[in-house]
Amino acid sequence: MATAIFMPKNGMAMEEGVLVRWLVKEGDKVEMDQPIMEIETDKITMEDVAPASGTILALYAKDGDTIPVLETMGWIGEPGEKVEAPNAAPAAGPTTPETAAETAGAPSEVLMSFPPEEAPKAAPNADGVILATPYAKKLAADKGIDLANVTPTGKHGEIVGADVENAPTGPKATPVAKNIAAANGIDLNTVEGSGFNGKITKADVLGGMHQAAPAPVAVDEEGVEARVKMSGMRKTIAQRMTQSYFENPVVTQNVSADVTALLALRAKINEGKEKADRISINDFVMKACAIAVSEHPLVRTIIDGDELVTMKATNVGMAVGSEGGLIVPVIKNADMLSLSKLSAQAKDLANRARNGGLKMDEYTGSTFTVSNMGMYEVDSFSPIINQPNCAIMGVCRVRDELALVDGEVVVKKMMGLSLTFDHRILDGVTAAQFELRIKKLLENPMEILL
Amino acid sequence: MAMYDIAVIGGGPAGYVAAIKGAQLGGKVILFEKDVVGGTCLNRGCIPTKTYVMTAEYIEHIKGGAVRGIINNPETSVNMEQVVKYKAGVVKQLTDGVAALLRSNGVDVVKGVAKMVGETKIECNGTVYEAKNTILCGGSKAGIIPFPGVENKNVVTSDGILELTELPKKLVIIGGGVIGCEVATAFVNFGSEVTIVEMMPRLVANMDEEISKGIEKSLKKMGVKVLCNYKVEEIKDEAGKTYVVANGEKLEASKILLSIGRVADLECLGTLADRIKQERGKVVVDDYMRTTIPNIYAPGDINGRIMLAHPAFKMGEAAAACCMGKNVKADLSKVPSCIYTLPGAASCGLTEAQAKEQYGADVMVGRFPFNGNGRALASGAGEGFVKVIAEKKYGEILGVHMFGGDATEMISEASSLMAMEITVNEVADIIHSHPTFSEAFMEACADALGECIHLPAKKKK
Repeated sequence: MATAIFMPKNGMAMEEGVLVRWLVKEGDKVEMDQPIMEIETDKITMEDVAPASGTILALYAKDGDTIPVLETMGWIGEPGEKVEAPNAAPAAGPTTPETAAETAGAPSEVLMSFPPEEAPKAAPNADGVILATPYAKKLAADKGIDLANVTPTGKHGEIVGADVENAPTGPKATPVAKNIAAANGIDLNTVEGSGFNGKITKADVLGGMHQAAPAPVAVDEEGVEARVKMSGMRKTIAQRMTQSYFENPVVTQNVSADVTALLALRAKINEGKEKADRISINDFVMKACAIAVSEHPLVRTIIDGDELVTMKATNVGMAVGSEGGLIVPVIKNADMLSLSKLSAQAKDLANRARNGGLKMDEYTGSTFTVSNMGMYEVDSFSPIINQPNCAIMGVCRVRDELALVDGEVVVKKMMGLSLTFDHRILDGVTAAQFELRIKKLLENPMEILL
Repeated sequence: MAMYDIAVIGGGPAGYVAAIKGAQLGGKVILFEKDVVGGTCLNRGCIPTKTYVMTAEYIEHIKGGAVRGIINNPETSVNMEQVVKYKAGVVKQLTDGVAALLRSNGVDVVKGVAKMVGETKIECNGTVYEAKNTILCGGSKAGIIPFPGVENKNVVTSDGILELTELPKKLVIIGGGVIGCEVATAFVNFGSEVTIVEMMPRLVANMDEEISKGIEKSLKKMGVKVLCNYKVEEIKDEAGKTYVVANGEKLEASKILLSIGRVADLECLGTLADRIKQERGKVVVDDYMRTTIPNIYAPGDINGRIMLAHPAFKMGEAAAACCMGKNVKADLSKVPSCIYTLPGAASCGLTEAQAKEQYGADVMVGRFPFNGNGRALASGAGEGFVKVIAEKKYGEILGVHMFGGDATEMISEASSLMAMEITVNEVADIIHSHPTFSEAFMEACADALGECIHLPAKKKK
């Protein structure tokens, strides 16, 4: 026989509770004492457990509903078992005029009332007090949220804890500052406001104008050669690098690829070409990476909350150093471009990156990034992931190595590859397979051209 | 002698405000003024010229009364002695007010020329005073270009023109900037024959081009002869008459106003003149108004950042607050500027040309003409426009330019909202009282978004 799930009475004074959220859904199998819902009383928020083992047959209450104690909210039993309909007075959310009209025989004043606003704000009552549960008030105080800005969903128009949790938080900022922050993905919580009461202005977001209070003149500055305010771009780079560095558990794997054949092929392709039209080693590497990325969906995967999201496109970013700092223009759908097209695009983007002529969508949306330090004779390094990518390929210099081939000592051109990957998404083996694929492509360059 | 917390040299807008602010913050303050407190603004600048322009506006109204059905004799002329006397009354009331404010705040005021004689020492009338901090508010004076004949007795600067008790029959104004245009407005209405000689291709060349065009048109309508792209060669007397020679043309003049700009007055630097960094004749300061000597500050015209009274007020306040241990910057990014012609003009922020140079195609321009504004038409003031320049992506208002209506009062709404970083989208939604000139600003913002209700629908591109 089915067992009812009901709003518990956790204290003599408790008359009703709010279902913050169900932790299970209809059809789920549950064990007795397994947490199935989160409820909130006027004192605390707590989890409540399943009163029996079985299958969730029905859940009548909806997240956010306020429900009188001991009222049935759902049933647990055997699949197919018949259960009682919900109580006559259903614990529904705020009654809308339409449903009220249906149940109450459509009194005319109801028909003439205004439709409810989509998101009613908490209105103070006659005494000027905003109704909120004590827990909601405490939560709001802790988070520094003004209850007047919170949308109430409680049965009597009161603000419950979940409302505070769902309330848009964030510091005060001017409209222009908010727009700039939103368009550039800047978290206003990380920006220090210079305006009245810490209000964030455009200049604060751009990071240019705001200076800290001048240091006392007496400070020993003798050892300082220069003290320069960070540019906005430098600040962004610093923030992104720090974020990436501390958020990802990363591993860097180094391999070497024999690019003797690739260099020969490249020489042949570039024969008689103008300098501007020549294919670079980096073009080959990017194309090889693009092919490998398109074949390995996990490399195109990002973490969003507790979900893994795999992107369709293989958009390869390339790190370009410019005067102001680092910028990563993106070659969209690089796996579908011919080598010559990719090469032309890479040149154009790099040029414009250095001259500050990139459009916003030309440096966003990458799924993988290539950073080439070969020209600076770097043998191995551990690049930092360009978030939200899950991996970055560091390209190192090509060096001569002696090898035995059929008993003969020959010189081979070996290129170092340093792959840094996010171990939350990729395991060592997957990453190694991915890197091996790139190595093989570089060692059999005709495959890159195909 | 007692050590002061703050010594202020110069009692103009930067100086007297700095003195009051310093006293408010608990400082012991002394202020030196060589003439009358109030500075250029009250004594020789904003206030006297506005008094003159209002007199001109009376004349314009009297003459224009007939079209409204007012029956009068439109023959008007001015008694210059009374004009000057009335202005002097206005000025005195205000300067007395400033003196009273200083007194009520306990500021010691010393009359005389003061100069620095050490990092903490100021000499005035033979006495040396000591102060922990000094705020240099020397202000500015009319600039003079040394072309031949500039010393002619009929040449006056803005100081002299406001003291003339006899109306000049022919007034030639060299320099079509703000001062030149305002004086032209006053004197052409008083009855002078006025000619403006401007070296640049347009009047008020630092303002938005549409404002220049508007002012030129209205001045010409009042009877002012406007000669742009004219370079003055010399001023000479011939057969008892004075002439300004420009581009080879001889312009007869009974008086000549030299209004080619203003230069910082650095007299107060005294013996520190070679230790306080200067660039192009102005004292270099940081945003806290500090000079290169830490306890010496220089707000106002003396630093040449913006030579206007209202930013000088704020610069003076910031300097005084810094003297009293606070770190206050003077933010001069949203300073409105006004021209009191008839009708007046005002602007804040970037001109359309500057905006397009900085933001390229990401610029929206909205415009609303006063001939579509009910209050303006009722006032017989359909001339002019409000122009709003905004950035496309974020809706930031980059510049607002007004000509006509009540521009010099209306600009404060625009500059306030710009300082608060309100976007053009929000302004378009703010309810403005009807009928007012101010509605034109809201309409121009809506027009920038292509949503103006009171303009004919634009053809879809």
